[in-house]
Amino acid sequence: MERRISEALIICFSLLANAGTSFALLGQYTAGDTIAVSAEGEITPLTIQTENGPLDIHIKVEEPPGILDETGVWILISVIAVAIIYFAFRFFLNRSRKNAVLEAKLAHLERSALQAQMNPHFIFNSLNSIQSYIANEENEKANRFLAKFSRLVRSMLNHARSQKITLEDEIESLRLYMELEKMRFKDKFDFDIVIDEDIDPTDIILPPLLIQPYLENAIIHGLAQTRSQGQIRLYYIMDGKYLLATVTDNGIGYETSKRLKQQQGVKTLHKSVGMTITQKRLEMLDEGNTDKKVTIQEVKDRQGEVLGTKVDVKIRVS
Amino acid sequence: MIKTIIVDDEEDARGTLRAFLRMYCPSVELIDEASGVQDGYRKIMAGEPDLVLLDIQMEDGTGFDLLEKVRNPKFQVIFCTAFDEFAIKAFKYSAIDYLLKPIDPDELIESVSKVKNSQESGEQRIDNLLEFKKSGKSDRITLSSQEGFTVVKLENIIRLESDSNYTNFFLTTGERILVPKSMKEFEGILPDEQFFRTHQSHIVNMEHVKKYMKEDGGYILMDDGSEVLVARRRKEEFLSFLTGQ
Repeated sequence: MERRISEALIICFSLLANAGTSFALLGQYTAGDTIAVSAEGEITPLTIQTENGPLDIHIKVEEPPGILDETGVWILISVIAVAIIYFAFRFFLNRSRKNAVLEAKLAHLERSALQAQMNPHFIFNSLNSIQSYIANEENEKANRFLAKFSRLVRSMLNHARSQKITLEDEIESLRLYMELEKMRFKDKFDFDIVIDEDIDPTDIILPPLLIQPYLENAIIHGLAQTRSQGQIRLYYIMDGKYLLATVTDNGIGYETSKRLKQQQGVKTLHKSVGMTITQKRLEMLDEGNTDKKVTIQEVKDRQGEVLGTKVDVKIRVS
Repeated sequence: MIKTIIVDDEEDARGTLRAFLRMYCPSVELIDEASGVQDGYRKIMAGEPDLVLLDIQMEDGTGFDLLEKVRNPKFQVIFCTAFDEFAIKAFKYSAIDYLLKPIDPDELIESVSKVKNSQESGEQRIDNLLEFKKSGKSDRITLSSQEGFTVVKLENIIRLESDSNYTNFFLTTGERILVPKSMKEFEGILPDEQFFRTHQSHIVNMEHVKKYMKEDGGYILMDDGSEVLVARRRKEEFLSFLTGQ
């Protein structure tokens, strides 16, 4: 093996030189050179001519007390540095990848939300209503319906481009939607939209038509099977960072309606998809907070008789 | 006169059909209207119609439920639906006519004229329809040609070949049935684990592929000795399909 010659060894040579060493030998080495060393750490014995005859010099190299020599330290530092860089890189890569996934998810949800808004059932039902007014020569109704329907479609198309709209615009769209459904269901229900006094509807922004699936449900499940005049109400109140939207109806009740549908084997796939998307959209809006955003419950009187259904939706708005 | 009953739970929808039949279909005599499955069943049994215009989703069940209740229906049926992809597949499979709402008067006129010219009742096709509806698939398909309706087992179809807007079905019996529908219609409904579109104008039943010939850019030799082209773009997919089986 080889060892590097340190300053100390040179000094050692110098001392020997003082004792009358051949200067030629000293000149052969400088600090930093390497010299052959045996496995036991001995340097090949040197024979030096002195005034008193030849002198054998044995030099033994001892391992320094540290485990690592200078090279080792540098290697260690490099390894640590590379590791730090590697992990830092991975961390940032991971984070940006996670962000990308989150963004893709959001984009997907926005698209699904648009599809949910542009609910084909709603569109076709509306077109069918228009056709029936025309077929039955109800011109006045056909005109009114068509005008409202166009207004709603126009606002849906406009909102599709923007991710958020003002509460004022939202209420305008929902009102149109309810008016169309009311016409379609032959005034079988009344509805009103109430906003709490301390809310400025021009000041709150939120994703469009979040509440629509619950209004649709209120109409279909709540009212389709009752004889009395339906009452649907939507009201908004503020609760800290959240806008709370509540939909109530006086229909046969959520559970009863669900049970009836199951008995008849009617598929309700479409609606539940709309509502799952809504929960996801609300979570995204609330920075990924996954607590329950939507509560659906039956409203009962003291005798346990079902009075209707109440849906609460929690929307993060600031 | 074609004795007809409308079954639909929406008053507006019945109103539209009523008005359209009056305006466009003088050969139709509207004998009754029903608002659901139960109501429809009673009125069909009482009125013995030639034709039923039937909605799919109704408050107390579906149009399919109604057909199941009426055993051995002696009438023809035209379904009316706004939106139901699965049902439409079933209609295509069983060559049952359907109208999409809002209704195109021209389509209504055409469907009704088919009823007028048809000698057979819809029984066989309704059977086929209900079978498909039940399991989402069927081992038979109803082909409608100029001669009438033929129910064919899928395993007896060797291949399809398009002829502009028509499709030729080649059967194991050596028969050939010309159906006035584009091949694209069938590509969508035939089970794709059994049928493969090899070319713009060819669909083959994989069970009847005898061998694949490499020469002349590649073609398939079928059981009945016919040769079918494979498009260059489809070759790889076809070969992996073939070896995967």
